[in-house]
Amino acid sequence: MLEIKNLRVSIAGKEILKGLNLSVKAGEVHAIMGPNGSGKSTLASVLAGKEEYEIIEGEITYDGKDVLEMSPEERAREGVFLAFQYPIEIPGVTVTNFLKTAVAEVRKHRGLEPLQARDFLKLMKEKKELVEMDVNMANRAVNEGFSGGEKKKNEIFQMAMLEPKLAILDETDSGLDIDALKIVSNGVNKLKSPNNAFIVITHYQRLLDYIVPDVVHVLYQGRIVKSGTKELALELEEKGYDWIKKEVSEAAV
Amino acid sequence: METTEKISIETQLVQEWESQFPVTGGGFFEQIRKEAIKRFEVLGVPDRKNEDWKYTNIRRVLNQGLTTKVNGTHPTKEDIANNLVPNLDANILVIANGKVDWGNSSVDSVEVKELTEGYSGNQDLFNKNFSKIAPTESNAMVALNTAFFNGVHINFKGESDKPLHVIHWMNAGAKTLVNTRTFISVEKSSSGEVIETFAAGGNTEGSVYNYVSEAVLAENANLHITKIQRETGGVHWLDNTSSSVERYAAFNTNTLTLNTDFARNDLNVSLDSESCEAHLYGVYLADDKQHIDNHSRIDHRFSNCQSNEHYKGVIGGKATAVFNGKVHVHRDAQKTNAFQENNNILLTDDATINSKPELEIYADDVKCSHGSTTGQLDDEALFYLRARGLSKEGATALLLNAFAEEVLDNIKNEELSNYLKALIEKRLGNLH
Repeated sequence: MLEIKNLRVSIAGKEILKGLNLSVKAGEVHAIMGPNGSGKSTLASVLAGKEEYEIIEGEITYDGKDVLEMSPEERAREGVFLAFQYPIEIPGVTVTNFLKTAVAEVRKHRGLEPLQARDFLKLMKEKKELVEMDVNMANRAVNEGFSGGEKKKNEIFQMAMLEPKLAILDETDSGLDIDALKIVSNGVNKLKSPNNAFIVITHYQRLLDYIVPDVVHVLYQGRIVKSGTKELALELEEKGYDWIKKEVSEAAV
Repeated sequence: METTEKISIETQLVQEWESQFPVTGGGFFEQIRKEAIKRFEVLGVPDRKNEDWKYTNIRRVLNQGLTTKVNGTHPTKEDIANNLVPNLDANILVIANGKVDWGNSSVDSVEVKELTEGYSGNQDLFNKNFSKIAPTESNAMVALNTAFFNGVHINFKGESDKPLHVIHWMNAGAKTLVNTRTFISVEKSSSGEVIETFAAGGNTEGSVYNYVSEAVLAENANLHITKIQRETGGVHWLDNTSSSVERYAAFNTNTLTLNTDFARNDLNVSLDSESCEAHLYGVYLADDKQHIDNHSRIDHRFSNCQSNEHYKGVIGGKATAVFNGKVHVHRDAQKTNAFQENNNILLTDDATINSKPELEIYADDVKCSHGSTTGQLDDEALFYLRARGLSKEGATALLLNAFAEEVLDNIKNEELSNYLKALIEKRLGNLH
């Protein structure tokens, strides 16, 4: 589904991703871990199409299409979804109104008729329950005055509404207490299917207790330096990243 | 020998006045007009050295051989229909080229009379307030209006069941100066809602609509005025609205300047007793070489009064907008609550905003704040929306609409609110 080959990316003249390779197939959950500043969020932003990054080299194909040629909205309509690490507040635009527009755009792109108002509300209700979202939240302005947990739930709620094929969760676990973490993970697990894939970016292993990955990658200094099974995450939790750093510097000699 | 010396605009207008208003008996209006034309001559049309007109060159607008002699036509039924609020049951008052067009008007639940008639039944009210609420002494354009005006007295008594929609129609020929006046009174414990649409047709090149409105709110009265300035060809719109607000009364305005080449709006509120309030909201959307100037002054003269002012602008093209809001808290106005805010989004490098919030406080126990922001559309918000499938244009429109519509939150009339939102959305759709 997703193939990233030798991706090199810089921002403001500084190279962040230095030849990253990643292959994700439908039905898989990939976890990307790594110390601060290793390039995890850059990868998420580049996949979603944030424009201030410069692509130096490499390619990204998604369902055989060249992702780097696509605008952010085209990617979204094709089924790529980024759950933001820091969801943006949009004063004056209600969650409902925003999602009505977004769902309509995505459906149009997929050749589907717009949802009738009643069906849209039904879908909203169903998906709200999935993330145990407060009923009034949908009538509030997007993320405005939301707590950290509410913002993250709202991301998963939007994901549920848009039904993406490839979802990238950028540190969705940060700032969540254990109850919210369970709710969010539960939401993700219910959305999992053989037809879609997840890339879960996280600092901590604890999220992976709930969203069990098929593959765990370690991103360090702009490259994936180690990949393994879910046990790798446990090892990282226990031993930290120093041994990885050591391996990398020894390999460089 | 004939001289071809060019006479000044002041001299020319004074001569026109003398030929139109020969003073005979010295009645109420004659006396007021006579004093006003003298005042106009003394003040002269302001130039840009006058701080109040620093960003708006009104002298250049007037200095092009204007005449007060109207040579125009009334609006057609279609012109009127194009400016009505859909599904709204309202009294309609059409003022065409400065004079009431009774044939096109239908007013049944509000008292609307020509000024002379209004005066005869309300002499005390006129003697106390007429031409005294507006800044006739200090503002040359108000003095000019007072010398020449035609207009109406609007009186609200009791609970108004439906709003009064005034359509100011301008089709008076090129380079014509029209002076329209309204005098609005809201009786004790009464309420009134006025919608004013400013619209134009035909040859309006270089013409000037010099409108002055005065409103008196008696104790516990409520007045809500919504002003809509729309596509208006070459008309230069001047609006000077002043109000005097009594105890427990509330004065509310929403001013929407949507696609106007030139507009200068002055809004003056005098909180003339304890425990009264004013809420002034506005939105201006401009592009090309449009010029929109909003001036306001709120005087807190007594204690426990409240004022809220919030104006928002989206400016593109080579347009210029001005916001100058003064809040003056007088010495006796303790426990004043006064909030003022002006936010602007500039869409292009050539768009200009001159924003000048002013707060003058002479009382010591008050809560006052003011602020002004100017920026571009938030890139992060734009990306967030696009990452959910909205096009760049769609996301921009959604953000700009949300930004602009916030200043309509105080409009309770649902038909009006929907109509204004639609007008804003339409205008933002073609703003560049």
